[in-house]
Amino acid sequence: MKKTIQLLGLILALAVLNSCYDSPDTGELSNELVVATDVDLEADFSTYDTKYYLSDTIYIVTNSLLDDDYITSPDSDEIISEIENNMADRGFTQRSEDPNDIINNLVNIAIATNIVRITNTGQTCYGWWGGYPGYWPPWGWGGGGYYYPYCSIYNYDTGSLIVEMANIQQALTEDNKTNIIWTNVNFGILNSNDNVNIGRATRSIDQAFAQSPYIQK
Amino acid sequence: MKNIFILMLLGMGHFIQAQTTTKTDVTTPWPENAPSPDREIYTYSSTADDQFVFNWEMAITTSDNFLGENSYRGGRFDYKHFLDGGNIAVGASLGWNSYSEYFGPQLYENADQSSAVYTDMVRHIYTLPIAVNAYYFFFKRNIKPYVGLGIGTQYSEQKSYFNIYAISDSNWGFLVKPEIGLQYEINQAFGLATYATFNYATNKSEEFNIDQLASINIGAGLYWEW
Repeated sequence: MKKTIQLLGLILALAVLNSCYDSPDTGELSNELVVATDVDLEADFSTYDTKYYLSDTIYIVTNSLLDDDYITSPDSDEIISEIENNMADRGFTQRSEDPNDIINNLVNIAIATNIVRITNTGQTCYGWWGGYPGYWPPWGWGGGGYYYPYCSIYNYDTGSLIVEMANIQQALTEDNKTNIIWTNVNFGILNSNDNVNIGRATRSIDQAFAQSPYIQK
Repeated sequence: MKNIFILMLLGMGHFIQAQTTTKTDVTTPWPENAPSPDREIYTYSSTADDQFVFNWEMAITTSDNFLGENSYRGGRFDYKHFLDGGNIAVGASLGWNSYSEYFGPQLYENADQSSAVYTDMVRHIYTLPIAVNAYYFFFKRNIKPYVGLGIGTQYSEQKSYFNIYAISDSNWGFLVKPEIGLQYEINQAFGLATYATFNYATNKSEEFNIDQLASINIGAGLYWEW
């Protein structure tokens, strides 16, 4: 009998432990993009020309066949002008859209923008004990009862807006090796409404510049 | 949760059944080595050899370099064996606590300030202290105050949730936990238990800048003896 008691105690302990490994409430988390920046510490932004190259084309990498693989003006205007305004605030006042300016050595900084958009799908199952059938015997405990697990498919999009600055003259002189001096990746879950996503993207660009005070002519 | 209640009731049911079948061999109400009866508070002497305690537990963090919120979602199981049915007991305990706290948007930078990440996050710690314990009961009447000391190990998981992502770390540490407690007897088999411990564990995480996990844990629960 004592053995039975100890066994029951153990089962109770495991049952309560299982239920008490809780995940925290992440409902408070905002859906703003995570803003990450990385700088080449050897880059001295004050030595670069105030004229820089920034195309209005944003390339899109996606795992969904329906999307375009790039967007241009006017669809890209809000994001590109946000970068342009921030650059102007830091003293880089002349934006060039002419690739010839790179070849003619008229700009130091070239900025490239990319969007990575990934559609994630998966399945999640509910039921007795996280959906593992057979974890407990299928007879009912009192009124609780046993039911077969059921599954549902979920689907969500994640995205990254990547803004890269290269010292393009260095790339032309040193074996065509592009030296990225500043990388900004803004990533997170996407809203089904693209206006919301563009709002998040422009706010994250502002934050990226705010946390990079070294970008200063 | 409902299913757990049913399980608990079933477990307790078995216990009551067990008491009626195994407690028939008690012959004398006052064992020779028991303290002399004090009729004011004395109902009967406790002669149990073993005790199991099931507690709800809260924890107040005292090492707050990762997060400072208290945990209200925790518990502890205790098993005690009274040596010769006397005032000294040895046993083992298994507890768990989970802490979480929301941190608003802020900048996290690496040491040379070349990389920076700006986000809000929810930080979470889960602890599982496992200890062997020794207790001294000052007396065992209908109230039973005691002191104890436990040593053991603590498993812990730390997580940072941001956007839809999470980074995590897990580690084991050495655990020491002094304890004071008070138990109140309802009948020969059941009673109420309450205690406070100081849990100090050496869990370390470089990733999250954690060099120790310490907390004051306060628990309340039910015990049964046999």
